[in-house]
Amino acid sequence: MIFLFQQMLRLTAKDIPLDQTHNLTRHGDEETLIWIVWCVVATMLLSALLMALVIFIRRTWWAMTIKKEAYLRSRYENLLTEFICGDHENEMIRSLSSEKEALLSLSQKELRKSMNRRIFKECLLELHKHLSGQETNKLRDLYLILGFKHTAMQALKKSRSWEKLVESIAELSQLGIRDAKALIFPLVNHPNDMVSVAALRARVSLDLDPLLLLDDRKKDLSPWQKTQLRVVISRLPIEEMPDFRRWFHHPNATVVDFAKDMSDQFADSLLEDLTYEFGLINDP
Amino acid sequence: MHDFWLHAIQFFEYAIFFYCMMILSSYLIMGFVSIFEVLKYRRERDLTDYEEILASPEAPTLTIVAPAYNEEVPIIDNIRSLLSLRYGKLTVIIVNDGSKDQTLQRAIDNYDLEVDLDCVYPETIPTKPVRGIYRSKNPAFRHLIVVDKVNGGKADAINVGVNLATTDYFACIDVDCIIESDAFLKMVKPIMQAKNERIVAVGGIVWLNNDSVIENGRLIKLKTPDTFIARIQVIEYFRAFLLGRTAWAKINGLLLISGAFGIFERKLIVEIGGYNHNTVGEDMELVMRAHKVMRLRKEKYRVAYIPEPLCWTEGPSDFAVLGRQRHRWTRGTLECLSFYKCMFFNPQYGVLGMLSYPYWFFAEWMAPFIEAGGLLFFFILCVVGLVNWHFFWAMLALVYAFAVMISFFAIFVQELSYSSYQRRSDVASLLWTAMAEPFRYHPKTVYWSLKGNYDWFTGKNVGWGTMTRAGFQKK
Repeated sequence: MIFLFQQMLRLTAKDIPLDQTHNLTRHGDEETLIWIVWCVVATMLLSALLMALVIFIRRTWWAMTIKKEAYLRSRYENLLTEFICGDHENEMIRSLSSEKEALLSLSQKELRKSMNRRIFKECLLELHKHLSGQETNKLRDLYLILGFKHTAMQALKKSRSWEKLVESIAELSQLGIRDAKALIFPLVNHPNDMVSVAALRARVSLDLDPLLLLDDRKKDLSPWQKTQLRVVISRLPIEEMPDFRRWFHHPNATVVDFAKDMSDQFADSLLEDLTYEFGLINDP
Repeated sequence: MHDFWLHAIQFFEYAIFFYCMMILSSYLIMGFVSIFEVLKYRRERDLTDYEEILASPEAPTLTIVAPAYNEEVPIIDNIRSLLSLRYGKLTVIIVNDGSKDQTLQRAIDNYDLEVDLDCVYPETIPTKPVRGIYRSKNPAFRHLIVVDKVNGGKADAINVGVNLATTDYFACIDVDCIIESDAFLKMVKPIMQAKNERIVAVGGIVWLNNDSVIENGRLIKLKTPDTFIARIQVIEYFRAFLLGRTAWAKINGLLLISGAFGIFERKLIVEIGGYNHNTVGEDMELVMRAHKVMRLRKEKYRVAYIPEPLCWTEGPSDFAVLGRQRHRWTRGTLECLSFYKCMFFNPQYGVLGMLSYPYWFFAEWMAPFIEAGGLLFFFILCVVGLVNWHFFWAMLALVYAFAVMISFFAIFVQELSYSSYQRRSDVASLLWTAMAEPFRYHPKTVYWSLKGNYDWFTGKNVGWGTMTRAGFQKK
């Protein structure tokens, strides 16, 4: 059967002139087409090789970066701890301001490198998050002197990167820089959810009336935005807690729901606090 | 006769050429969309504190439904692993699907279970009879429910769980999968972020953990599998989950959420009748049905996707088992495509009808036929001596180079985003495997697909087949 099939095909094929069988290639110069295909092949294989190289080079670079970051992080953490606990802070700030080699061996030159600057800022913000009182003011002063505020404000004005916006909003609100209000507040309506949520949180922290933003809220609050607001509000001192009944008749139903939930939650926790305070129940 | 052959050759060459160009272009487009999406997600994830969801009253309530059939060895560890997941409002329902071994008894003994006589089984979705509903006497396991039912298959077992669940969403998982502890915190974020649309389902990346180090139901160290067959599946999963599904999710055209790991809106799934028993592709069928219903209702909705590996499973480690799995996947795809053929280039279904469904039809279902047809055509040309060898070698190199480039690209995206494999040798072995794949593995997948098609068209019902796994216990 196979033999017969082969013979049949051979007989049929004999009738086909060879120049007509080049189908796809017959429209143009066959050699050119094949040459183009080989060029595409070479490009693809080179891209694959390049990707493999990038993978391995990136791994090496990444390992070195992690090592360097760890070193810088530990150095800056120690410096900042000493800055807060020691009594050299004024000298340090003065030295940094005058571009001289600072006490505790930190210079402005060192902090001009973007990586060092980033890590120093991260350490400063991390420490700031865990402290309260006079120490946070020292860190805030350092933040201002080193020009981090200026960089963050510039990012808010000019940057198109949502990550830079989010980072800038977060650090400015954490350090309570109220000058940034005018730049941050309009970002509540930013199309990127990460930016709008960061701005929402910042607004609660920076506004004198923490939930003023709810007054003119037209857009619905998503469960994610409610969660974020709840997190920031729950960190406020009890005396700064707003009266949630203010929004019980708000035209936006999501704002009303949120206000009612918050009212219930804080009424309960306030009652609990008072109960413990007056010794009605033994605090476990 | 002469004209017939001439036209046949011309038609075949043109058709195959344009088909290949279409597929290659779609892969490239999906690759580029995915890389941006994955990196964007990575940056968002780094700036999000998921712990805030843990205590949030706004987070949706969630039930994990895990069907178990003859799982007496791993059941205890698997339940413990599920109960230790970090999510505030979580219930775990284990459905013993008529196991013939000691699965139920071991669960009863280890978790102090007793029959809950007060609980009435609400059979909203019709299922096989339920024999008993068990709850633990130990308050530490108050969120655990174990259901014993007559065997009815995976779809039926999940439907029992869905009937019993009272939460906003339910997660369908394979009981032998390893879920990252914060997986559900990440999975519910798109649900919480949604403003004017319903999130009807959320999928996530499932990757393979063959030969990795696993302790107490947790993945400790990820390694590339020792065998070629498992390594090749790792690359396939990179391509499918990291490149393909991420891109489809971007345009709300995701047709498949892995049956091993996904979250669904319970209300909608109950409304549309739960999982379909009559297909082996019940996971794809459910997503397609949810899409169809929502499109017809003209409601704003989305099937979301988290491009992060949150679930780990073990892939088949020999060709026989893998062949059965791929055979089943082919039949599942065929069944789903035939159930929803009304979507094919139907603008009523939007992206789904105009892009997703046609893509699945042409690139997933037709591909093995085109490949096999191409090979047959080539052999015929060889026999009659009409092969243009210069062109043949160039095209063969093109196809090979493209296959290698796409696999390298998937590995590259994985490296840029998660760098899951710590050792360089792991990555090197994956790259090496990607180079061998087109010759050592791909022809087999074509064969399995054709066989699946043949069995489906001839009405041969092979069922699920046996899936053997080495199991985590051995590692």
